[in-house]
Amino acid sequence: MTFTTLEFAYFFAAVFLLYYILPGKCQWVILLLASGYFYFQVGIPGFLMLCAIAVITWGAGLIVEKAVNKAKKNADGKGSNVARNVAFWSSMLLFIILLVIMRLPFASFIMPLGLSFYTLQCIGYITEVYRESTAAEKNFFKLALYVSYFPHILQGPFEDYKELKPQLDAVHVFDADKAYRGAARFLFGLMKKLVLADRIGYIVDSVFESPDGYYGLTVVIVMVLYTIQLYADFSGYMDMASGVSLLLGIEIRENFNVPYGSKSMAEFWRRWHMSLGLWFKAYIFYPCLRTKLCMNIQKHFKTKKKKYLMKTVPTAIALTVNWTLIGLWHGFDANYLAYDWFCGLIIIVSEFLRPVYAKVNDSAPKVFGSRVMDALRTVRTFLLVAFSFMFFRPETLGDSFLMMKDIFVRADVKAAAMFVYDHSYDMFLITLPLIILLVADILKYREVDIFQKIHKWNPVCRWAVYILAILLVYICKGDRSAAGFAYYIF
Amino acid sequence: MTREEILNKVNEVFHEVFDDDSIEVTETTTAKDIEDWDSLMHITLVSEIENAFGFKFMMKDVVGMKNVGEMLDIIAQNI
Repeated sequence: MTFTTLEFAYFFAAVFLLYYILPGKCQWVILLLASGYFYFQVGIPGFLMLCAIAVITWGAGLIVEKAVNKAKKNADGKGSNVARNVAFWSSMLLFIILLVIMRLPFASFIMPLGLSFYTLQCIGYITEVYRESTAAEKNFFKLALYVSYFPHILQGPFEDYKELKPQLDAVHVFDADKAYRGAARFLFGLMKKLVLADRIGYIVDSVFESPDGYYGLTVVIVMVLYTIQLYADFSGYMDMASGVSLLLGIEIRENFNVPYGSKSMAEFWRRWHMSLGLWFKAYIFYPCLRTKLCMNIQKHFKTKKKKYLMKTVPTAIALTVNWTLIGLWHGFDANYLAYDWFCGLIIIVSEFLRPVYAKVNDSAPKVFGSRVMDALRTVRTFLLVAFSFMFFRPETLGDSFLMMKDIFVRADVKAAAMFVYDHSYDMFLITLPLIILLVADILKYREVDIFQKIHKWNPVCRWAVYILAILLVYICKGDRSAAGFAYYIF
Repeated sequence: MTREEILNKVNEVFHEVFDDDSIEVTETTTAKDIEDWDSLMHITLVSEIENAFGFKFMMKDVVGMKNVGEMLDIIAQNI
């Protein structure tokens, strides 16, 4: 049951009515039952695994909190600190083993949807309890709701327990403004997914499935279109998840902030899949930089007065660990590892070259600080990102290298023109939605909320826009309702 | 140490870490206000503040502090 199906519309209508009609104190129970039903559609093994993970997380949270409190009470603290670390690391190990086993080929057929997302959330929760930045949840069912909340369970965003819990516990009265924002976000997400992502899928899928025989400009067109498709697909899902959640009065984290407006790869990763970046920063990158190894390296270079190496060497180590783990999180697949290492490598090299960039920029501040240079940096980053996705999408690493090589073999403009002509119908249908997405993103980059703007228009104009948007989705949508979202596979 | 003295010392650390003497942080300064204050520089900053004040930040503070004011609170609690 995905957000784009009629089945989901009926399901959500029922949840929405019960949520606001029944007494407020029942709201979290309704959400829990709805989330259970929603995830039950994935299949019984997946549902049972979710229940088991929720139980483990709840139990581990309580055990870790007890060990932490005991360590605090004990004056010498040594023995109790061992118990505290054992409690924490044993639960971590359990999750890591689970994630590894479920990704092995023999288990992949039972790997339930969203496992990688909600498992990381559970690890985050236990770590927060261990760090004493949150209290362990005593009520199992409330913790189960945090883990299984249906708008975010399949593809995220990764929610911080401290941020989401007060909202899940609160009583929500119907708020017309939030509901409007929710409905508009949902419609926008629907357009991104059903029109842009699915229609572009018609154009690019055949090339990725058998890339032999496509050269130069055709591969570049496919590369750029796939970059748009993945963004439309993933951010479209997030818009729908946010929209559904807002209709219930609950605000979830933003996962995208105009990623293709970035001027560097590092900035791109601060704007793309933001909740994943925050998760890895809090639980992998920072702790890695605070390990004895990195701290000693830092001290070593500091005593030798090598400030540049003092910053860059530990950073390079932490970034390598970080990007390797992100690659493994994406899957035990050479393509994902290559993709994430490629991104990591660009960021590490950029970090090493930071003083060079600074010198170059200082040499002609008017030129390098101009808007034209900023625009060129944005285009360069977009092309780098598009190129990196050539590791991500093809079926094998061999196909990735073949397509990369074929870009440079020959331009083959005539074949590219034929390719565009063959797909002119889909190209035509995506043109208007693409312009809408571009305008919406440009406005968002300038911190203008397009939905609020439209909401302030007079009712005739406003409703004309809504009706046109619905018609646009209905007329231009692809017929791939059976096709899941790109990130369902994780 | 008064809060003002802590802030002055923190300012010195900022000058050294960011190689920029024109930076003047206040209680409300956040990472958004200083161009190079990204996650990489954050850890360098944290280490240098630890060295300057002689204590260690807890990981929840490293991740959780939202602005310089919160940083000053943590320093004041630990020195």
